[in-house]
Amino acid sequence: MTDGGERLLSVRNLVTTFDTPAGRVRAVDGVDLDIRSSEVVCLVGESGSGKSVLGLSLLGLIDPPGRVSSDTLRFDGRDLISLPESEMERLRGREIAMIFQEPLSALNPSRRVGDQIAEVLRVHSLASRAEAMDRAIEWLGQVGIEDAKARARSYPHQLSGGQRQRVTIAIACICNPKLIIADEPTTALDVTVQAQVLDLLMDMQVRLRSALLFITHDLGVVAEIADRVAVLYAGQVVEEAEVHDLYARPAHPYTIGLLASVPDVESPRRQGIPMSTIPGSVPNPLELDAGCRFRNRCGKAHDRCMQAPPMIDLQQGHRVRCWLHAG
Amino acid sequence: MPADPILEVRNLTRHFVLRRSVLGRPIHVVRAVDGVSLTIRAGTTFALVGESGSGKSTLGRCILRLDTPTSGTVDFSGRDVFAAHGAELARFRREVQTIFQDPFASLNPRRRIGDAIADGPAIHGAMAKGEIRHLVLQLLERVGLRADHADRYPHEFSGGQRQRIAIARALALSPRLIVADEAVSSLDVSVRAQILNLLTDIQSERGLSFLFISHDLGVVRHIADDIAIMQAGKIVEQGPADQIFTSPRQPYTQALLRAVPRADPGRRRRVRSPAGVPGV
Amino acid sequence: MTAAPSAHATRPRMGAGPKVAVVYLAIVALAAIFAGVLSPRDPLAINPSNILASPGVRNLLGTDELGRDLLARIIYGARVSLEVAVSAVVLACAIGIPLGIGVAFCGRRVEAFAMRIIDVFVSLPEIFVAIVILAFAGGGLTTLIVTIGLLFFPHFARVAYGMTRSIRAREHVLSAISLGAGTTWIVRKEILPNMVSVIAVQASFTLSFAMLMEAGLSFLGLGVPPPTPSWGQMIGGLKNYIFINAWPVVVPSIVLFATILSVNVLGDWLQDSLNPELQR
Repeated sequence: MTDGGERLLSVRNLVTTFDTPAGRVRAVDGVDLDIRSSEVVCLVGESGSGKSVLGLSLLGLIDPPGRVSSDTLRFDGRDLISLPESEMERLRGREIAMIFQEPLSALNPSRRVGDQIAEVLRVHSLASRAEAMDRAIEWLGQVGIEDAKARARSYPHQLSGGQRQRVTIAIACICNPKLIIADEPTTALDVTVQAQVLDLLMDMQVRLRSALLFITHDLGVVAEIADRVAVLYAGQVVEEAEVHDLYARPAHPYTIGLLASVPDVESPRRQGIPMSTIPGSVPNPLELDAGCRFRNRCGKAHDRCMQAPPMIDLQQGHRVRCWLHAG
Repeated sequence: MPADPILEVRNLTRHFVLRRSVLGRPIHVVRAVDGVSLTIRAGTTFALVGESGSGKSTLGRCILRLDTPTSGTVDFSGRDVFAAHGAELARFRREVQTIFQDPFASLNPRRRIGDAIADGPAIHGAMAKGEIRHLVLQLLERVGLRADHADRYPHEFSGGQRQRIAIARALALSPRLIVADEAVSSLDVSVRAQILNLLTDIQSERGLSFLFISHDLGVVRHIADDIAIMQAGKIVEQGPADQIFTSPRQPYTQALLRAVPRADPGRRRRVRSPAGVPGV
Repeated sequence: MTAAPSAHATRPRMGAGPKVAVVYLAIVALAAIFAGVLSPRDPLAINPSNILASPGVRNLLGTDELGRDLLARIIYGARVSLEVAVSAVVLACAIGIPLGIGVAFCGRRVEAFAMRIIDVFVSLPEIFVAIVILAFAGGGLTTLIVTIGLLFFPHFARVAYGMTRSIRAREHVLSAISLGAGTTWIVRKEILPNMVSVIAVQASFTLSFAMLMEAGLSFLGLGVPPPTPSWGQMIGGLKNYIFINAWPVVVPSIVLFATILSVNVLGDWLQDSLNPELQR
């Protein structure tokens, strides 16, 4: 259920390429994406889908030899393409925040966590030193770390994985961003800790009314938190839908195959029946051709698939990039 | 008909001494495995489930005799694993194999994969070179690769393919028990299912027993006959898989099961209402 | 993690620097090997009527203080310098690498003890120790080679020890152990091949040190005994006449400098090209 709010982020034809010694890799190849205020959008993909690169591209965090280009990249009414770097820096951490997968590398190991949280406010000149520290401690408590005042003086290595991720959430949320981009924030965590951290993230999202772009490969997590889902394959969005619609009526063969190959904890053991799989593997990004990128693994591929399929609108908000749904 | 036990672990303990006093007395000891007992029946899959720090990997290494326990015994086919020497030990090494988690680290980057698969038979010296070569090609096909892959190096393969190579390597000695330590955890979801199917196929073909170490309850649900849940070095709950999943008794097991996200938005735990206030 | 097979790891293309270095060193090596054929004159032939001459038609690079042809002496000097440096490095490897690997397989106490001793050796200022040893042991090419070799073996021991320890912890080694591989097999097939690149880099840098040390010792008169030509020795001899004719001393100086620079440039390139491999 979406908020039906304003379109906060509008992306058209985002392309991110990397020039490698072996050739040019199109990690993100023509992605359209819309995110509304307070909406939770999940970007689902496996390795090679370009999902992490997409998150970094939105924030302008791709360095040469990578290049980002797009027809449209608008955030909160502003055009990000023509935005100078100094303006972009003001945006990061304050209006668009990012949470990474590995809290150990996202946090500076030689600085206390309280300082790192307070620093976000200081960098954006939003508070004095003392104020920033106070608010950092307050936020540590908000993210569920007990004894916040004492804990603020800890170094990252003194905290557990779950606690470190809570700290990165505090860092992301402290400036009340309009959009949070989370790149696999719970993948490296134990499953019980993952549940807690997800709960926390969702609480924050609701409270701050921020939009959340949650990048993951875990279809269980997506089902738990998403309003809308975009499925990414080999750098392209192959299907996009409201979450209940996607799980109940998946349209793209890749989505169907992916959903089928996720083992369910609750279904009884199917003796002797193999798990449903998608044969083959993700294509080499250097060897992509003009046709549908999934056709070599698709049970329903046919002649038309030699040409790139367009994005087709199904019912309400449900789009799929597949010839099977063309007229 | 209950099968005979192929592996029996009794009261296994593995301590790590992190700090000693000047005189050598242990000050800080970590009980990675603390009095664990379990039995694996021949031809079945036993899953060892736990989160990080539970000790499951350490237990796996002790069972494989890659690490020496502080106390306790491991009996394979009725024989004490740690008392074995010479021919006995060689036999153990042939009959118990392993598949590791990281498909990138578990193969020697400097050796062709055909050679890597041939290692087992080559080390034990029972087969002629030509026979070994034939076996390697057979195994490559069995795991879904091609004969011409034998002369390539690990970096030329994807993660899923490397795990297939690791499986071929493990099968080369016709083992009776395979210890898979998070064997599919690093793989993409779609590839994971392929590898799991391969493992279950091979199991029913060859009557293999599996010790499947994992943190992923969804995967375990699909392939395990028996399960043991580990936490902080101890086994918290143990029993047939169906029983553990449908009626878990221990609070930790219940918490673990509750925490697994379900791939069905209709059954989500948190309800999102239009006003944005979450119901629970 | 990659999902698709990656292209075969290619060495980064050689820049201009390394290419020039290779060509230059190839010339030096050829000069060393084919000295007899390439040298225009006898390097030992004294000609008192034509001392300290600048380059000319008769002596392409001039003559030294005894009228000996400089070009001939440079060419034969290449042979001596390379002989000493390469032999010393080979000796250092032959002692250091087995020692380093061996220590890595000993118990913790032996390891700690042995590595501390090696650390002491590594921290010695080589040139002073060499001077002392050679002052007592007297001259001679063999003494020189053995001295330099002994001074550098601890570096190789350290590298070999560190590499062995880190490779041993890798999963492909554990996999080999569980296949039944013994220590010898593991050293031969798993550890050594993965160590080669790092050792090669170490060897290239040690080669330049050894060359420089030989030159320095010969300069001081403690190294290669006259009349056998060595670049360092030539510099040492000719420096006294720099105000009479600067050219003769410049010749061996430039050649020595260029050679050591080339070895270092190649060593750098080797290190850079091996880096992505090391990171795999």
